[in-house]
Amino acid sequence: MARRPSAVALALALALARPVAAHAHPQAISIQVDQHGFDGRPDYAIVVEAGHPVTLSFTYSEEPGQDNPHDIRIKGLGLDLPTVRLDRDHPTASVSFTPERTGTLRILCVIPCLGMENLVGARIRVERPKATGVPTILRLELEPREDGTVLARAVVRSSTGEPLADQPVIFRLATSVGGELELGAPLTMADGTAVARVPATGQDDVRVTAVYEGGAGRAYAETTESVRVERQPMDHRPPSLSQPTAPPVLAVSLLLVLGGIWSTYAYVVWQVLRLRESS
Amino acid sequence: MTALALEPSRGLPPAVDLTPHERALVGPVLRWGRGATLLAGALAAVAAFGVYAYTVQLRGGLAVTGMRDTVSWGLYITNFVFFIGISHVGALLSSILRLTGAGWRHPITRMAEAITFAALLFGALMPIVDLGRPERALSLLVHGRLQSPILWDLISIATYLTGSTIFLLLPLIPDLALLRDKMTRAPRWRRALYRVLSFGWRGAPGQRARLERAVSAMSVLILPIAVMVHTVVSWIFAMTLRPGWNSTIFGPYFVAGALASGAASVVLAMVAFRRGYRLEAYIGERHFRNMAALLLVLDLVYVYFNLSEYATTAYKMQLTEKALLLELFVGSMAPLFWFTQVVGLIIPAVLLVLPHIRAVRHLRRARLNPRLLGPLAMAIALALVMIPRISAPVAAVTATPLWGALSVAGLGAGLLFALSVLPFLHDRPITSTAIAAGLIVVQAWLKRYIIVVPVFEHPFLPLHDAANSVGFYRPTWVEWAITAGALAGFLLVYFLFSRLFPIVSVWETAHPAEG
Repeated sequence: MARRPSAVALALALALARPVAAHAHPQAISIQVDQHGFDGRPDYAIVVEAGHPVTLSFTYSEEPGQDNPHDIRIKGLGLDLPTVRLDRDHPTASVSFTPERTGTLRILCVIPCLGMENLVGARIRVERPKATGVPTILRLELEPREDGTVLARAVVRSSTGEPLADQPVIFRLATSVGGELELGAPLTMADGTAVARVPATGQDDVRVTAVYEGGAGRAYAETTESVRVERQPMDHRPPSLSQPTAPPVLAVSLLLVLGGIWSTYAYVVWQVLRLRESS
Repeated sequence: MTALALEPSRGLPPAVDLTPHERALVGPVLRWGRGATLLAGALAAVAAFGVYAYTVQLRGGLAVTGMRDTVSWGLYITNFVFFIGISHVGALLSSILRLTGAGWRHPITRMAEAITFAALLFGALMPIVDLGRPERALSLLVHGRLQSPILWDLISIATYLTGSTIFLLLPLIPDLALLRDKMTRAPRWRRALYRVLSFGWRGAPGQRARLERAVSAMSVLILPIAVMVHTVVSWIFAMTLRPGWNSTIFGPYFVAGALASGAASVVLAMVAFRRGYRLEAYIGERHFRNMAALLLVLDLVYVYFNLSEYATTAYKMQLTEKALLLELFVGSMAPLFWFTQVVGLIIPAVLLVLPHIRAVRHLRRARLNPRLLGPLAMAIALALVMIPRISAPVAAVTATPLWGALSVAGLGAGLLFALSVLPFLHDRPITSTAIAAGLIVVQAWLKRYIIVVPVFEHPFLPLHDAANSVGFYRPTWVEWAITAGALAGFLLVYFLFSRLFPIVSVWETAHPAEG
């Protein structure tokens, strides 16, 4: 259970909070490609910033002598990029582009190849450029509630401790299937607090990230907290089929129907077995 | 009844003291010629190849099939629904005709009942083949939940298989007694089989009364069981929240489809046995006329259900259904879909009523020659299909007015060919009915494929840029081989049944007035 921070803890947090540094540009990324995935991972993922050039350099990394060509394509966000061929004769290739908006790009091999199932799940997350400037302080706390939700409360302050009002804070929930669900971007109130209600159904650990994107001379800030909650029952559909045990009415109905049928079978078989005795 | 001369027997000595009627119907049981060896051998070879393909699947797992996470049901479940569908006919046809006292049924009821038995054997196998690890089928028995339609399916199919086996056996008993008494020089295992399964039948009045009671009870009981089975099969789909399956009429829809395909299967069996076993004296034009009438009704009922199912959803074009419906109506599945609706249902209906349309005779005056028009239409159709695929320069012709003229000529030739064939089929009701039945059976399999696969290809959660192998289903050679093997196995079991037992009931057709 998350506890309310004491004044000392809050002061300590404010003192230890680090300003977010400016990010380097341009963005050059090298990726090894083989049948096990991009850089050997089926779930390869990277983050780049929108508005800055990105160069992806692919290298054919199959076993020596193995001929397993790949046609690598980057899709999404309206980009029209050429498909590049990687094989024994073309062991390197690169693609350059500048994503203009945020979202997700996919990197995948678009031809049947050995290990193709490992080459369709890679992601490039394109995020807004992280703002630089005067450091800001972002504090997040999570409070489980009786209705099964978790209350996420983020506080945004300037480096001098002044609450920042009317600033958007993005709340993201880590999902049980590996991604993140954006819950919204409420504005901070006069005391610098922004609040979001987090659905916690079906999860034991609720992990929330709060992001303050900065701007107007203030720096980007991000913080993540998690809290353990009691698992809430899911709203199954259809309920009659998802109960752990059969409803008595169903069991009795099946018993009656099947009992009637198999009793008749038994009667018929009995008649047949007694044919020999009949005259 | 006409007595038929038996061919020189091979392998089996002829029975003694058979009446001409018995000899005509028991004949196929007595002889085993070269044709039978070839047919059984060919079917066994295809079935064996299917078994080999299954061993490949057992070694490599379901990865050797085209099924993936998104499309996890394919040919096997298509085959399952198809086999269960055609299995309907034996029980229902036989039961309904028995209960209504239709005398003309006698020569065909056993064919129908045997179809049920053989189809159920292979239908029940298919879900096990669909499991990557078949031993886990036992988990359904051990850990199955009573609320699960899958468990209902297992129970209902087991119940139906038991019931239809009993229903097949009961009217066989007097014929088995005949074989027991007359085939005294048959191999020991066959004599033992006939002796055990005839249950001491002597034809005594008490035995007849007892057998009649048993048959009557089964005739009444098998009707609701057959309806139940296919309803439960449909519920496996309809109790799933998926576009295309989320329907309230799936139960009767499936039953109607099963009845149509089953009745069509019986017609095909009638044609095969009539010709192959020279049973023209027993399976006459009257039987085909009656079956054609029955098949027409079942076909039109199924057309009605198709209309009801697709028209209501297409009218609304609900968001989740829209992509699937567009795929069926105008997308990549459209050729299959319209083939099932037009060639598989509408044209058979026309063919079934054709012998009754007198106006067709007037077409003879046009002196259209089908032997000329058929190849012409075929050649134009082939050109229309092949030219765009040959090469870019040749394919450029498709953009010229010549191409339009060729298309019109193809349509015209096809239409003229159809018109030229109509008088031919009008005069041959058996051929007409057989073609209609064949189209309905082909339609039945394709329709099951359309019901199963496209729905998986259109899940609720959108697939973004997934590789073709993930989002779309293309059966592999393993699945085709197992499918062919199952079909061959079904035909082999059916064929062997007809060589082991009389395929037309001897005792029920003993009175010409009824036969």
